[in-house]
Amino acid sequence: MARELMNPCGAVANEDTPLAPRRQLDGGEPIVIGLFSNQKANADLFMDNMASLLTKRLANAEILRGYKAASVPAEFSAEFLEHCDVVIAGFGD
Amino acid sequence: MCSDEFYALGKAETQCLGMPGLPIAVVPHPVAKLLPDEVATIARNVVDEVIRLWQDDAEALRAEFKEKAPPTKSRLRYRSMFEGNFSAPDAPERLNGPDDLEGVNRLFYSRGWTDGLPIIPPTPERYEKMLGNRGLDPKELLARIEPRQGEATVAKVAVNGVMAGCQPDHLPVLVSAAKALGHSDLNLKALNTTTHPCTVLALISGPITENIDVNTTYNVMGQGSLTNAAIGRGIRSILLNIGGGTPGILDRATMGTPAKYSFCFGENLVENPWGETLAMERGFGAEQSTITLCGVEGPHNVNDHYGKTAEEILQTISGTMCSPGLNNSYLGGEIMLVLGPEHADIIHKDGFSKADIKNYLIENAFIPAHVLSEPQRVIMRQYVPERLLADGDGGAKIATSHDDIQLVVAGGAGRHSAVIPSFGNTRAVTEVIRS
Repeated sequence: MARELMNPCGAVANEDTPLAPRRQLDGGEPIVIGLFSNQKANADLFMDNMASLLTKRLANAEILRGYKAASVPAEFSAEFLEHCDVVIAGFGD
Repeated sequence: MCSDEFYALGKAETQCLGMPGLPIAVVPHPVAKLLPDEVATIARNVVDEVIRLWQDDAEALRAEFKEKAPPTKSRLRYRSMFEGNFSAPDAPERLNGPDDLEGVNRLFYSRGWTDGLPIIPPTPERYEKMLGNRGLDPKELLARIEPRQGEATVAKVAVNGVMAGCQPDHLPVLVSAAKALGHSDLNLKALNTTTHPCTVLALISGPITENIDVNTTYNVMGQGSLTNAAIGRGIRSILLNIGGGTPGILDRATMGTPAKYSFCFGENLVENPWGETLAMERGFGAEQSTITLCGVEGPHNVNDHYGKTAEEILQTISGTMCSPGLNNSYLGGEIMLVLGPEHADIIHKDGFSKADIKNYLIENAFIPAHVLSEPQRVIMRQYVPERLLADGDGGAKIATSHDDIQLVVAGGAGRHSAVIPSFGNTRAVTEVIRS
């Protein structure tokens, strides 16, 4: 026999914002790649490697580095957001 | 980008940001322990995927990542967790469940809605009784609870209170707790997702401790008080069902702590020789009832049966506060010192004010140099250089300002106190309880 129970779960927003349009990155136009480290162990070293690999693959790329303090929400500077065409943001461990 | 173990957390973050199709590149976990050439290898292995995520058709990527489920390396304990979306904005307020206690518990456990212990089934009748006639608006939004930013309405708080075993007169405390959970100083997103074994401590102060029988004395952090147990458990239920802190999914605690089941106690003003609670020190009146939430580890006991002076007891406390494995060691932040009434009495009779205690600890509580590893020291030089002694090569202070130490008097007779380290990047938040 069934009976009614209250749903304990809090409502969570379910927006579905489209992604920004993509383009080919090796087309000759300069691109700025943002590498944002969350400063977990080895995150900076990993981003160093990504910087090296990406600039070899994409001759037109310029790298802009960003950093987050440990264990607090990330703050992206206006300069970082305005200049970057694409970004890798480190998350979690 | 994240390691595979953290994909579920990353996916939840994209949902909270309103972009569930945001692409996430994944590398194998763990990254932290890798040697430099191993880090280079995982970077080489993922660079093509990163470029793909920057170049492929945006709509195709969006569809791909909306559907991409977290990799599961272990059996999902909550078998029905992903059956139906009970967190959707249009999710029903009620659901049909079994009629019997055991059946309801099997259902709720299978959905990941409990702490593992049996719950009180949240029937509409119990929910209405919990709300009572206080004039509360069930639809009032108290806070959005991290990490999922779930809506903590009065109604949802009441339902979780029923499940935890709260009594109707506990609801005002839970309502204030929910408001405090939404305060940015607490940094709940980190507390409810971190690998660190922290929980949310609820410290209750003021006349309400008498009115609803909050335990402030014997076994103050232990079992035996319905009020302490149920309110602490109710907060955990809010963190789970509204915030989404499911163990192993969004709650990434490596070890966890028994304090995550329930951690709530009251300040013992009657035996506080300074006549001032932490809440009063934080600017609230003695006539006000408050709840202070802190992001903390479980308590560490301080046994000192033999100290006869303030300094002798504080010396033992200093040593207990200073462990290299605490988050406070490299992140700074608050540490709570809960003085048992007997320790408090000795310290007070020696003429120490609360400020004197804090000054003593700032001057004398430091992690010995020989227990600090060089990698630990490197991160401390980066985050808390002012705490390192001897130009960075010595020991490390555990506190540098009065704000780093929260002084509370609680507990029963006996020569014990407790140190409660915090997550570090968190600050206590106090809300008035309006009964």
